Amino acid sequence: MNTPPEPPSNPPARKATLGKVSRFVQAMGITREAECLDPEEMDLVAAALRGDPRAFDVLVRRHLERTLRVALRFLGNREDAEDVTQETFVRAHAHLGSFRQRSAFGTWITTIAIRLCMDRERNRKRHRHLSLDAAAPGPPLRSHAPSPQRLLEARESLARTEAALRTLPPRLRTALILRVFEERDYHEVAAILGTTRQSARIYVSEARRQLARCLRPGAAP
Amino acid sequence: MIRECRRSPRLLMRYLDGELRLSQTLQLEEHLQSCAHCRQRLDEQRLLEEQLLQLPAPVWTDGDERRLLAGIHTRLAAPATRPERRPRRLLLLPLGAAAALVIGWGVHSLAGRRSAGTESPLPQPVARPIPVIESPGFSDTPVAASLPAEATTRLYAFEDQAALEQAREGRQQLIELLRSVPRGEPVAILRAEFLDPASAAARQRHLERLVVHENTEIAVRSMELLVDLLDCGRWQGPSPTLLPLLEQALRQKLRAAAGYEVLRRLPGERAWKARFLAAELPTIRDQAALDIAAHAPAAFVPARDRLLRRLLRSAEPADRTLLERCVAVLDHSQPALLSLLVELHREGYSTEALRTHVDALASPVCLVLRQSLAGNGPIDSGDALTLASLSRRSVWIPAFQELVRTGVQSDRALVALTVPRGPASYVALQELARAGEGAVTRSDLSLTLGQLFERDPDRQQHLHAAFATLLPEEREDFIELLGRLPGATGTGALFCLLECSSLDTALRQIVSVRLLDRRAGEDRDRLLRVLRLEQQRRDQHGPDDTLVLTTLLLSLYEIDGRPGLRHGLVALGLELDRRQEDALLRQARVITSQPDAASAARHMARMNELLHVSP
Repeated sequence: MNTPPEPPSNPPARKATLGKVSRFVQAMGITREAECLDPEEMDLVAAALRGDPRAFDVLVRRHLERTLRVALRFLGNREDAEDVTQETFVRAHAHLGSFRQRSAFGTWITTIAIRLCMDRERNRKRHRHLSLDAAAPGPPLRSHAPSPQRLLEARESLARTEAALRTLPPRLRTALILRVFEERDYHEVAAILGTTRQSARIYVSEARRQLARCLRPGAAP
Repeated sequence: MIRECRRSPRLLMRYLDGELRLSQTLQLEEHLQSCAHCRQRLDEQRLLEEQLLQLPAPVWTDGDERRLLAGIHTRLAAPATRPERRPRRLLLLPLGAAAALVIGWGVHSLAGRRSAGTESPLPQPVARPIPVIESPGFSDTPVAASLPAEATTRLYAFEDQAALEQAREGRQQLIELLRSVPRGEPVAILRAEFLDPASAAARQRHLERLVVHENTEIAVRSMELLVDLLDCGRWQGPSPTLLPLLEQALRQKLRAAAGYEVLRRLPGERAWKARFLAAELPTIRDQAALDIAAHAPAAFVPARDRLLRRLLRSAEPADRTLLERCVAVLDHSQPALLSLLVELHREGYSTEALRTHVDALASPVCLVLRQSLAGNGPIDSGDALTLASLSRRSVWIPAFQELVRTGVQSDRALVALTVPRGPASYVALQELARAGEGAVTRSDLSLTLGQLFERDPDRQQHLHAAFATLLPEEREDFIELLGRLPGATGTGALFCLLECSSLDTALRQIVSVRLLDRRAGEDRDRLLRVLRLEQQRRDQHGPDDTLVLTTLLLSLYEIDGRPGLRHGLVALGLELDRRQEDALLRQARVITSQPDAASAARHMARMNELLHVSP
């Protein structure tokens, strides 16, 4: 996997220029201050680039949980998610120099994580490796629960939702996870997916529609 | 069976996201009333959202963090054990850049070996080092003195000095030199420059011309080196041709960034002209243009204002950072700042944000705004009124009053007065009503007062405070003004007054009679509350205001009949039989029908008996 170029700050304008030209443009464009650049984080990135290991550690700690959360939602498998999370930061470290701070560091990290997740899933499919977590256990049973029957139903419903989420195409799933679970705004979703805000909206909307169809009472599981 | 609706489901999604405009929301909600299909889809989406949010969140502990972090450190420490496929795209890079990268790599590994003594848990990132020299802004003084010591250790090592001697003249040699310098090395050319100061000027001219070299890579590199030289104070002064050449380079997208970096470092007025020209180029990003505006010297103020306006017009309304920075840039130039705020308003900038800006205006700017309001300031008085009416500060009230009095934009000034600005707003309207001047009628003022009252979240407190400041002769007038307010607003205002401690008996009587006239009954609870308040007051000050109690009881009777009356009596701690109630009602009707003094006194005495108090 190539390290993703940092998400463009202005996706619609960049839609037309793809490939190496756009990479060049992005590498050389004057920084347009993105809405969410955290000066402290910019300092940390600068310090990490100067070789300060603590600065990079601080950055990792800040984004570790969120990255794991996204990966876990995407892959549905803790082991894979943890592996992808670690790999994400290793890649980020190696390519920190190409991070031009046109977007927030967190957005960049999420972009890397999502790409790695997609790669991982593609490989998994190629090797016909079925996740044991596909029917992931729901929340732990508690002894004081009202009735085993109700709990079982609830668990089944959760598992069904989880499984339905897995069936979404990767980009739609990413858009939905970022929007619904991570509450990122469409601007950021678009930046991570490398698309326009309007398309990000359509992705989320389409994901919701497909999911709703999947979870309709009569739908095939 | 539910009929399928062809309305776009995306509209529903945006509705769920709360992203529709008010008018669209209302339209959709109206549609939902009648369309079962859309309702079903909406319910389905809401259910889905609930189901999704019920999915358990991943468990996260400190242990997880430690474990993952340790894993990351381990992987970073052993990069060689993880064979990483070389990015295919690298092969597409120009040969020169690839060579530069390889050389850069070599330099870094050398540097790494040199600093092997320091132990760190993370290896150095394999990355382009960021420039050591901080951005000098638009300062005309070179920053050589502030070069950190480590910069010298990063000097690009030209070990073969003889080769360099040969290469010191001539364009081709310089190009070769540029090709061999790793990008991003900030002081790379220094060593070469030190070698032969005599040839420096000639090399500079070569370097300047290279900014328009047909090879973008070379052009960009040459500009980076120009930046290095400028930063280190090693520049003999730009030749007259550099600015036009730079302008040419700036017009090209791929060169704009590097060109701008050179431009921002060049000293002198001509460079400023060039900067403003450059800021108009589409290749220059907003942020850079803003930097130019922010640092513009006094002679370039008109150019700066033009630039900011252009930026604003092209900015998305949501791009607040840009807009706020524009305002910040102009903070010291009053008319320009005011014009900018007016433009923000026109461009659909958030009213709330604008209000914050207007409220935060420094007093010199306020003065200019006030002069403009009066028609003798630098900005249009209508625009000034627009801005001032956004503010919640009371300093603008006298200006609005003046506009009402003179009849200049009196309607808009009245609208401005409906924005709650504390007790002063109420007093201002009272003053206008009393003066009876200007082009506005009393009912206009009453309408304004009503709107003010409705919009004011602290209306009771403000009304009381305003009332306390009025002269005795003004108070009755004010009650009259409030009494004209229509519907529930008027009733609410009168109730507010009745709860006001600075209202004397006579005025309370007037207010209570007005309430009775208005059949102020929808608000029975409030009526009972006032009644209790009256009772307390009566216990403290004696029965001098039986009339108020009477009118309140009668109001209750008129709303709810006997049960209402009994509620009131219970609130007063009284229990009367039906005969006594009849008597009370009879007395009350006589008392409130404004009889002559003697008969009023007689009936009042009888009423006091009924209400268990001796006169």
